[in-house]
Amino acid sequence: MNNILTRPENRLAKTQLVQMLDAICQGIEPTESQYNDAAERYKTIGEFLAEENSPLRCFEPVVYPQGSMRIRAAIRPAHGKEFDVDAVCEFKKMPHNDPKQVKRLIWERFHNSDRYRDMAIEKNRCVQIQYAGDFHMDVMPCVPGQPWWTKQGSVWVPDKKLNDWKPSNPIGFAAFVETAAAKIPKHFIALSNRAEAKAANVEPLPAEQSFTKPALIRIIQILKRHRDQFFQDNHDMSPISVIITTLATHSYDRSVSQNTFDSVYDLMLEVVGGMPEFIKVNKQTAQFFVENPTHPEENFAEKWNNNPELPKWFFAWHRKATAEIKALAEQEAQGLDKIGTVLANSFGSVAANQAVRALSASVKESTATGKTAITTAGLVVPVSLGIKTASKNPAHNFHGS
Amino acid sequence: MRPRWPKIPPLNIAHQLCDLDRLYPDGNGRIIRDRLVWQKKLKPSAFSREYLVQIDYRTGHFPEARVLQPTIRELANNQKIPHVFNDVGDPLCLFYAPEWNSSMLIARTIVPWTCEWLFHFEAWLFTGRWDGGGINHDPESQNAQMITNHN
Repeated sequence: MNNILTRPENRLAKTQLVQMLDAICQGIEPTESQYNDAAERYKTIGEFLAEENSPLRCFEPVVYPQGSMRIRAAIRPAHGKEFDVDAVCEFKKMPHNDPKQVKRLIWERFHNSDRYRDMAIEKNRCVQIQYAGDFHMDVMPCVPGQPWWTKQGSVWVPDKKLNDWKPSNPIGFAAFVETAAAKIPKHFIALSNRAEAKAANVEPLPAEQSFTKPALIRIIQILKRHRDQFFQDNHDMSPISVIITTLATHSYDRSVSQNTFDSVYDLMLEVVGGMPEFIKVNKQTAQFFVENPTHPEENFAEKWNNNPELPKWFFAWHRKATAEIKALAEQEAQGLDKIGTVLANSFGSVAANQAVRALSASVKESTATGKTAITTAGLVVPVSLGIKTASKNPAHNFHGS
Repeated sequence: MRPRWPKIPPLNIAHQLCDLDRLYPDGNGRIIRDRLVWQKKLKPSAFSREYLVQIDYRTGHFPEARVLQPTIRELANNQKIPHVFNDVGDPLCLFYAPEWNSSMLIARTIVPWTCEWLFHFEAWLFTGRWDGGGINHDPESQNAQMITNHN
């Protein structure tokens, strides 16, 4: 699949799809300044908990992000404006053996302060701090890992029912994703000379044909967005983000290590398609197992084994996501407006609108700087794609109202 | 700065047609006395329809580009289409008057600009916004298309 010389149109379509999907992600992720605001707030909360007169000071609390905020794959919920920001408050010194007591300590600290009283809400496992407008932050207390627990960054978090501690590793999990994301996909160059092709067939994909963020992070965001759209009326069956992130990371890691790709789009297809292979199924018990990469005994898909509807819905969603992403490049030529409708079905109409507008604006900008040309068929192409063109497209202004 | 007409003499229409044929071999052009009529199917993006476009050009006039098929008005559901002139067949407003003169080759200006217009038109059909840029002229100066003598 990767060594076929693609027609210029095909290559253009894939480049522009990646551009549109990138625009969708940009529209639903926190802006750089929102990320900075969040970072400022972890710091402020950390300082507040460790202040001189704070009863928690002696336990040396440190607040830092976890989950999608940490790996920068956060997206806005489909029908909300606020981002959920997950943070952990790690006590370097064990305040109490009882998780309930540790949760109570942190809750009281917020509740007794003039500054946070009106912003703090007590939740089952965490304290939620509501910030006007942008996001709310879930601060989950955790305590240092036990001595036998050797992995870097491991901690104990209160179990859901708060009667025990559960191991976790927010830093280790982020490192698992970030290590894979840093692997750059290789480009297959089709050359007429076989020997030459063999010698030179791997180089990084050109930047202008890639996402504006690491491809793995974008793929995770696209999948999560598709999931939110797919399960909008069936939220209880929605697969949890950590499962999507884990499977996509394994699949990405394998794809970039083993194969070369003509386009980031082809890479995305292979990554998405390969995800289910990293779900282990016990042949005797038919139990599903999605291993926590930082804690091999933990099964992210534990709930699937108690409710057979959950895996059923996961696979139904995965099949649909794979098929729809694949179909994007196989559209019969019916109009950019039609591809907009297809994108709207998969990712929502606001996202689709953003995608098509971004594509139009990018052609405008490239033309203004003399970076587009047209082929004999009339395709408007970025010069950087290296497609054979008939004429340059000189800068100009559409006139008229 | 006021636009200045270049000193280069205008290209004759035979020269224009020759260049069109060279760049777009499957285009269809003919010269009727002092008038050049050229038609070609254009597809502005990999996701686009094919549009049959006609370019009309008479020496001393601005070239005019129109979409013959499919009907852009129908596609637009009778909404007001941005950047078209209020004239028979909805000629496309492709450039600001000083940006084109008769020393320029149609195949390397009007044709790519038509393709780009079609690209932004399709995006507009979906988004309702024209993101292709351009200059909005006031209705008073709608005859920017009027005959200009370059000689």
